Amino acid sequence: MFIRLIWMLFCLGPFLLGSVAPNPFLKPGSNRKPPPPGRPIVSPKPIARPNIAQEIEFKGYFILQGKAYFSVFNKKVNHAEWITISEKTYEDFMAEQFNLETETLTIVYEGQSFDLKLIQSKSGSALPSSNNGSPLSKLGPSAAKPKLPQYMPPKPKNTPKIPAWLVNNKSNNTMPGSSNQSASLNNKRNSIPSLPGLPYPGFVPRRTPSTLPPFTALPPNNPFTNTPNIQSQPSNSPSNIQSPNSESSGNAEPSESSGLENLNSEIDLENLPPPPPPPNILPPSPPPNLLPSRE
Amino acid sequence: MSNVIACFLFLIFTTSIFAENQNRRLGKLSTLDFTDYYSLGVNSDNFTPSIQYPDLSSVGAIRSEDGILGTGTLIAPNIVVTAAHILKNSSSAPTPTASDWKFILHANFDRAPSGSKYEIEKIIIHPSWIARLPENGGAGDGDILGVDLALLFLKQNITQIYPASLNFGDPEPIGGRVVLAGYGSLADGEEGVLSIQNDKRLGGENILDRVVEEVDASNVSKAHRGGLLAIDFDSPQGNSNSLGSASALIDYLGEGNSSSNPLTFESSTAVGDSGGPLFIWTEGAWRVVGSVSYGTSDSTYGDITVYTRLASQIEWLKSHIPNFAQARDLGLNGWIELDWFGPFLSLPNNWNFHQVHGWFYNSKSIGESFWVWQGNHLGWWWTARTLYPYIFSDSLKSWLYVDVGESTYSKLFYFNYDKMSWSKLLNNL
Repeated sequence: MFIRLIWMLFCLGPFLLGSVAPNPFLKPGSNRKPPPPGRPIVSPKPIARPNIAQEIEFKGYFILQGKAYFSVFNKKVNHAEWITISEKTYEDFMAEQFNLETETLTIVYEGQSFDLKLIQSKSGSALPSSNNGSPLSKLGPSAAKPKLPQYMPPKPKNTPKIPAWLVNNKSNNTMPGSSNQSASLNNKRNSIPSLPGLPYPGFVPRRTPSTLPPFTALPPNNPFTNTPNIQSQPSNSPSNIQSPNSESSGNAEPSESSGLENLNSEIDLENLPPPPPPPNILPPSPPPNLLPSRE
Repeated sequence: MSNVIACFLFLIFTTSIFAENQNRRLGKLSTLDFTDYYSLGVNSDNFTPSIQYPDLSSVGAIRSEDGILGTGTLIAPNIVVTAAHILKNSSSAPTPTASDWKFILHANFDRAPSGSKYEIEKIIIHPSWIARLPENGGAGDGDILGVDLALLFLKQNITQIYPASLNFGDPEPIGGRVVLAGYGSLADGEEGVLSIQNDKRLGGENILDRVVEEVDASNVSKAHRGGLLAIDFDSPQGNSNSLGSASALIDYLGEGNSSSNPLTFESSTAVGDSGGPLFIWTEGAWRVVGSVSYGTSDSTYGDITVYTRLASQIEWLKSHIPNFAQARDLGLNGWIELDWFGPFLSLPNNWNFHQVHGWFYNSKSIGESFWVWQGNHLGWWWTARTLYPYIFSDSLKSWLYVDVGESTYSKLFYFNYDKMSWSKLLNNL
């Protein structure tokens, strides 16, 4: 019996202690964030990170069938490699994202991101010194490089396969939400004369520094899926796809009679009532200065 | 004898359970129990997402391996905004290691399944927070300057959850009703913080009392000045109006007015709510406008919660969040969905395929409004959350109204306000 009692105490003891202590499963003293051992209190320095920009170069890129490929050159080992988004080089430099407008490639290495600008042609910048002997700053990118129009990547050729759930569940877009409804939400309270302010004891941080149990670790093979690998899927149904020759069809005036007319013969456009008036505003900015791909 | 001891143990056991249930909530009115605060935290019962209550499913717990707890809000499928001081609270604290932290997106982080615990790929702390840390003996002053912000980048997208929308427009209305949420400690207006233990997401409401777009700190570099929002915790007796006009100035909150009457589910924040969101309805949506930075007391009546104002850091936020950040990832190989625009396939090269609009190009938009280009006579057209299905065609120099119900990517029905007639665009690929 005594052994049973000891056993009960052994089993329930930690739980009982848990009613007053934060967590029985923590190591003693682990409820406080330990100070960094031997770390002097000094002014913080910028987070130390390897100077990747000096080690690797973003040499070039091209877009093929809607997929972008980037040339990443490792100067240390004199090795260049073409990779796509979410793909790693042999040295583990992963292309995370690409800003086409600024031609900046974001590389992830050892958990940290680095932005790499596209290397400009050296032949373009190696202009002779100007006649008046002005400094090289005049040969900066804006001076040496003419403003070229920027182009979109080519439009994908195929119609992607629309998920089955979406086919018969088209977005139920309603009329625009009215922001003036917010006024009714703003439950303004009656103004009542206020009392003198309460004591102000100073600021209290709102994090828990503290005594809660650590989380359960995730499985080690939690997959990293930074950017889904997207593949457009060509449809095999000709009735579902119009000619992808968008450039020719794109500039055409809207057709109101064609082979597809019978698909919507029940809609009499002439007699449809007009919708409510449009917004009395204009877009806040002009469209981007981008040109369609020359393909 | 053994029976007596067993009874004693049972008593302690049941008492501890009772005590634990008492200690699993956060700051509330002393006149209410916690039921409604919990229901609001999980959007159940009368608190389903609507114009009255925001969807709080984007609010999660942030936890470190050594037990530090904070709250964060998903603002893109793979990005969480939170408070910097959770991660690095003084200049002597070590630089946080991403792998030591997790984002747990579940109504109860202690009981969350492993699929709701997300690993962190990288942490970016606001540079001004880092720069100000040496102040105040190494503890910094970024709280009162409105730069207490950090971003957590998750290793994988969270699917099927709409990230919270940010506020890009007008300043938040003082006197507007706000909703707050977090996993902080149990607190009661009479008693203050009773226990730091809480594992549930709670929600509450309050009134926005202060909006500071940029702190008036002339001795601080402009680059390190952010904005603040503040609420106070009003008691049922109406005698704790800390941000009333007669109150002394508190940090950089400035002067202003505040009603002394509490809302029905008046709430304050407590330890553990750091980084948690403040939502307000503006411009057609509930938007997260603040992140809990600090409070002025132990969450008793009169407590003031000071938030870092996100709109004051919008350029910094924009520089880190991806295209269509406000869309939820449907988990279907690139298909995403904006709540106002519907689902579409988004490719890394900025081409997108919409069931109604077909292929369109967009180079940069968070998802609030955007210009898109189509290879048809519409050319560049613009629309926005509060306008769609109205679109403005730059080529036609006219507003159009899209009949979304009848249109597909192969035929678009729209009303041209310039011609005052309906048109049908075939081959909208």
